[in-house]
Amino acid sequence: MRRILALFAAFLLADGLPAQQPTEIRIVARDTEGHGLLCHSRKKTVLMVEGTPEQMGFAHGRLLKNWVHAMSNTCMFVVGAGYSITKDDWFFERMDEVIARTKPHTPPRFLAEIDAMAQGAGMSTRDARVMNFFPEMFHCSGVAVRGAASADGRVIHARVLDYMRDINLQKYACVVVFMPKGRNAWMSLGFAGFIGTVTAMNEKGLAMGEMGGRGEGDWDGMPMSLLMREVMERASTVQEAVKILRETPRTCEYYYVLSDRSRDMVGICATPDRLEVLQPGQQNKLLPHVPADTVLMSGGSRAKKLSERVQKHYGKIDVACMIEIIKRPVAMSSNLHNAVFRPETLDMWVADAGRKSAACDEPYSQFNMAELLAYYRGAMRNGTPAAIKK
Amino acid sequence: MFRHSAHCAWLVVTMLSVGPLMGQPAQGETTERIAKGFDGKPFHYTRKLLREQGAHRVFALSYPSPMITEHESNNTIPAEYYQPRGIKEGEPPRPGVVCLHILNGNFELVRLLCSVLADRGVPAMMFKLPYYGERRPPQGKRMLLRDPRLFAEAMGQGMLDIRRSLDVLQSLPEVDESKLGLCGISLGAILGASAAGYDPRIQREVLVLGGGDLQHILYTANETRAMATFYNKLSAEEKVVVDKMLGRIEPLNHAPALRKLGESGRVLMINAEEDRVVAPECTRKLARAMGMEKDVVWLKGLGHYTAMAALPDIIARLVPFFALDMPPGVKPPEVPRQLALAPITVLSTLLQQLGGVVAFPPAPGHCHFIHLELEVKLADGKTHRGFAEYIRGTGRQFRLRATVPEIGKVALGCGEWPWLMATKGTLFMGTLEPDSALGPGTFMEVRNTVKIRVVAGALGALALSPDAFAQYVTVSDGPKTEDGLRSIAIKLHHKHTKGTGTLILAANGRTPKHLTFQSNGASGTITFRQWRYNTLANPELFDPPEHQAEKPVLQRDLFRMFGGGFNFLMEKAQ
Repeated sequence: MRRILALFAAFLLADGLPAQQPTEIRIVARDTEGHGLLCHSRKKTVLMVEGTPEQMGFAHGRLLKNWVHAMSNTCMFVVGAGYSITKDDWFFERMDEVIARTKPHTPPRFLAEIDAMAQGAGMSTRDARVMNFFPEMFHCSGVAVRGAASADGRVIHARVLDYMRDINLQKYACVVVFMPKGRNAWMSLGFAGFIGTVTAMNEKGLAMGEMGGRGEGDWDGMPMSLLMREVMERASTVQEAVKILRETPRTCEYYYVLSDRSRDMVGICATPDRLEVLQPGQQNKLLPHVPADTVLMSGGSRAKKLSERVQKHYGKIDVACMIEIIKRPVAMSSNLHNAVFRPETLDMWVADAGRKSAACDEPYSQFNMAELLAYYRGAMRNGTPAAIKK
Repeated sequence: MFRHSAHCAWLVVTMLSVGPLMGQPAQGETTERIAKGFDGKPFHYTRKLLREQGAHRVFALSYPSPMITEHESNNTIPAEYYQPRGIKEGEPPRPGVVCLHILNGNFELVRLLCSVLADRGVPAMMFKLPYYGERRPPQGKRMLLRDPRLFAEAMGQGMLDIRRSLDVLQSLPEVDESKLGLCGISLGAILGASAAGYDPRIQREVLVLGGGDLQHILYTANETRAMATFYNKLSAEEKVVVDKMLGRIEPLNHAPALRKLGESGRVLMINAEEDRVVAPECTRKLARAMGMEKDVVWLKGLGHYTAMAALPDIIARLVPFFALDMPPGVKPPEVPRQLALAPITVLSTLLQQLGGVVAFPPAPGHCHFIHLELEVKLADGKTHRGFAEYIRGTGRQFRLRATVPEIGKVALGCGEWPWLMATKGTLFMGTLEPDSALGPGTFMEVRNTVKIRVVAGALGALALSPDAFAQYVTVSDGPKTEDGLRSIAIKLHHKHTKGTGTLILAANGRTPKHLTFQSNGASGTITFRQWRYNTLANPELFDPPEHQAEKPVLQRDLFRMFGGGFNFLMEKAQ
């Protein structure tokens, strides 16, 4: 029975038929200063903020105040205690170092937004900064297909975040739409109080997911989650994104998969000293066989399984198929969230982990970047939100 | 959330209160005649012994409702009578109490009240209100909560049923007809208050979580939201009819009679300070009507459902309150020695202590101290070995050491300063920016601490009627060990959790020494190295262990880690 239901769900999720979710979007709260909306749509919390860094930060903090506090009080301090106990190193002292060393490379607007978020939420600046920088301390799979590999030639890009499901970060998960003044609007599958991103797509149709590697301690650069945000806000294409990644001082070791609406896509291995770009179908000694028109990043047996599944479904991969491909064991038991992007249509399908289940076993919700932006603008300027289509 | 924790507590209370349902076979049914009830009419009731339990006997009673409705099942009142043991011939009669149940139709709490009253020597009875339990028509009792007309009609019938139940109670030879009392919780307390306005035989009342202004309560409480919706759709004329019906059971409409009771100190009101079902303002309205606004016992920090946390305290207040009417020289029934040492009593006491260790501080200069070694083999074949040691002192004092999967040994505590020990020997000591206002509980979420208190409160109540949860657990004496130690065999037969266990007690017969268990595919052993409840403590108990290096850190950060860890564990436990 479950298999039949899964097949049925997969059918509904197929391209052009993504409407298994409730279609309405409901405004939960409006920012009192007029720079944000907190909504509920398709069983997800959606935060939309716009304006200057200070305006976006304030709105974020005010609209998600309770979650920001809970995230800090429970998740961050539990992570801090775990780190201190196991590493024999005081978490907050190390975070002070991370913040100090990354600060020269961090655009002031990000710090301003974090500090404003803290003020809006009524929490200390230190706690807000620590909350936004602690992903630097801990070091998942990504895959993109196109052309001959996908069912209709369009890019289907997936990112699998395997990270700390056990500490209930998913409880504070939300889709956040950032509309910074004078920069690209973009959306992140993120968390309350977190202004950076690890899973994102912008209004230009550039999608990006990250995987952590080693190199803990190499913190003289822009923190990874803020570097990804920088890419989202400044780049329109994969090539522009690569240029930013190459030119910006980087921390630690990270891997990225990027794709855009022109069907360009790459894999990237980045350390502070080196940035290697992997083209679709390009083989790498650290990876299993990479089929043509495919970029994949994963480790060990998960990478092998990912490669096998892509080859098995080669030429037939659509959104529903991709959701099946990234199920376990490609995703780990710690699978915190997954996203599947279709940059050409600005669609993103997302799943967050449940209380006791991995994200890959949870239902997906679809969000369209253009629709969310139109909805927000309608709601804030004319008072009449645009309809979200089925 | 509160519902969830209250549900956990209900499970415990359910376990301890179902005795009447699972008793021995009926030992014959007798029929008694009441020549003249409150309405001047005669009726018969049947009486059948269900079981003997602790210091009392439980009888099933059945009698007709004074009001005939279209639902046949609703016209007969099922009741239970809790008769104290050891009533001697020629003894003066005692007070008797009718206990009324709560809105959601859970009878376990009211059974517990009857049990503890009877154990104190006070005869008590409970009955099921119209449309509850066996009285429920095929449509279920939900229809009651959707239709204010039906609800008002049913509660009007309930009022008559209370009076008929008083007829039965006062007919019993051991009950003094001039000392009838009534005890109600939530809905029962509201009805109980009104009943005192109708029936002058009620001489003493305990109202738990009750209040006045019934319309406000019914149309604002979540539990009766459907009723509010229904009411709002009624025409103006229909609303007048419903209002009039509800007016008959509105406690505030019986102020003169209530005031007479209240001002003479014959009413005890116990309410929750943060009640969102019966709002404190509704409680105050009723208390004012009774002339006893200053005498309400407020349960601090608790709500309508989490009031369960204070159950032992509630019982400790209400039982002596009714016992005030006991005739001089009549003593509570004695619990036979073998019963006091019964395995079920020992087990319930240990569970009560466990709840107390977690939720309640010891006396000044004392501590609770538990140290366990455990080995558990899970259903998936994985085996976990480890230990856990928890010492709780007074104020900020505590120490916790345990083996945590994937981390290893964890140690934290608070003596003069809070501290946290890293696995490689560094001690993080919270000596920077000390603040005496902070403690381990400062950053624990209130909802989580309330959950702990609710479960501990229910475990505390368990010890009050320990042999009443046999439907779910069979507890019996097992063979003595080679060392001559007492063993207790435990069989769990709850519909979701089945298992067996053997608990070996230390030589004193009260302290656990070793537990082996098998349940739902898992098995394991727990060795109790320490089990001391409210024992003498010294400050050194809370000092950090030996360490290689010490690092001063912000005190606030350590307490936030402690609070965060607690909140995280509580979320995981749900």
